[in-house]
Amino acid sequence: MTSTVPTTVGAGDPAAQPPAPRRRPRRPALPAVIVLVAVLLAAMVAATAIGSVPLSPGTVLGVLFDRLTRRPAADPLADQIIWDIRFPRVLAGALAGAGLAAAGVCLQALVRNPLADPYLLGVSSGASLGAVLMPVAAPAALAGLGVTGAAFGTACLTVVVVFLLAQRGGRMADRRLILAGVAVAYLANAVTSFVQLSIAPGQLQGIMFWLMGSLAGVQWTALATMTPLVLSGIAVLLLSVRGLNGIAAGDDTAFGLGINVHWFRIRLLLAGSLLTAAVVSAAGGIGFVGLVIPHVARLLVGGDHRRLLPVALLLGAAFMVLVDLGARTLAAPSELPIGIITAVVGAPYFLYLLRRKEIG
Amino acid sequence: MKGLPTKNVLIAYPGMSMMNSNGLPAVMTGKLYDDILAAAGARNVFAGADTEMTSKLNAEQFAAADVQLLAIGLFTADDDLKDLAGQLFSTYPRWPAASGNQFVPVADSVYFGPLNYLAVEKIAKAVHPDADW
Repeated sequence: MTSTVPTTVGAGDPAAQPPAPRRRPRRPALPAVIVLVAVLLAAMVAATAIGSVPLSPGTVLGVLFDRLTRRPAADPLADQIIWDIRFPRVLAGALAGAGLAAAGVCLQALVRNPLADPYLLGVSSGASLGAVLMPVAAPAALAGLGVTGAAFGTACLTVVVVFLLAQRGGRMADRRLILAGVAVAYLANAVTSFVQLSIAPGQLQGIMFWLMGSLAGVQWTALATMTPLVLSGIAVLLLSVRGLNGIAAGDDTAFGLGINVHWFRIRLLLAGSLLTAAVVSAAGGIGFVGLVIPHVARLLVGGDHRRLLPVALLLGAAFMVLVDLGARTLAAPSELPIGIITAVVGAPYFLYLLRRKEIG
Repeated sequence: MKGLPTKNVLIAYPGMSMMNSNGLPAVMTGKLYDDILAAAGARNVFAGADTEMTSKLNAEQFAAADVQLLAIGLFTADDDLKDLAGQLFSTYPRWPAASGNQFVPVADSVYFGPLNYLAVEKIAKAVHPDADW
């Protein structure tokens, strides 16, 4: 799995470059937002039109028109492929990308570490454990939860454990938060590996594919669960951009802005974890998106979260839709796990960040 | 079965969906399965595919398949035949087999072995119900 090892380099290190807003010429966000909205829409149209069953653009548009106008499907097969298979997947990709990017922005500000990503707190590892345990160890009473529900439940449980471990004297310490996340993640990974050893070989392939991330199985039902959670998390963060600027600059600055730092940090932790858990439970562990996208967005519009967050959301959504399109077309008819493609893109950038940090 | 009209048959094991990376039922493809269906006067809906197809199959290909008869595999004793077939037919209502609720149960008999004749006989009777048996 590409995403289960938390990124902790430079945690709490004063020399680390925090993603705080710097004094630099203000970069307008509007042109970037307009361009990214256009890119996202184009990516969604392309991803809906392209697949292993060839369908003409006219057919795709016809299906969407019929659905939006509630007319009977002229072509039942095209209707099923477009509306029931591709479209939920495209929407889920956009939501997953936006959610992970937002979580990355949030957690990088929260722990003031540019190398932080949404899996820092062990959420992905917890979700993976739930997904692996569900088919082999869940009692029949929990069978209705499904893999997605189990993954979301254990992801939330992981956040609670990490949060409790990070407490010190009633306060949440950065360093303890990161270390608790690392420890819990490794423990969850160890149990996941142990469970994998004990399951039938035939079950391994499906589980491994899920662990590496995939939108292949996303249907409207999963989207119905994922959408409100992701949108809620994003809404909380969009309403917190002023506080994010303050907290990224340091607790003293945030305090000076009148922010209740302790509760604000808890709010960020919950929002970031909710976003990550919602995405991971539906799409598996997709690494590097939450790490790379916030940095690319910073390059585009700077570190002010009022501009950074909207741009990161759109960038993450467009990136994930295109990555998923690549995942199902590069090796067609086979599908590649998304995590492989995001890692191929993200790992070099991650190494670049590390190298730039060492030089700096 | 010579001279009789043929049908496209999908051999699917919903209980073995762990073999597919997209959560779809395991499908039996490749030479042995194609031969069993040919002997029964039928044609594999994924004829000519290799045995690895079950791991690669995606939902679009599954939905687009022209399934005229579903040979549904029972993986465990707890598998509910009608329930599994009904789930597949409701998920893929465009299949011709779905409109006529056309399915036949198979189990170990489609695997290589001395019971293959059972699979051939069951499928042949389902494909050609009007033949003189």
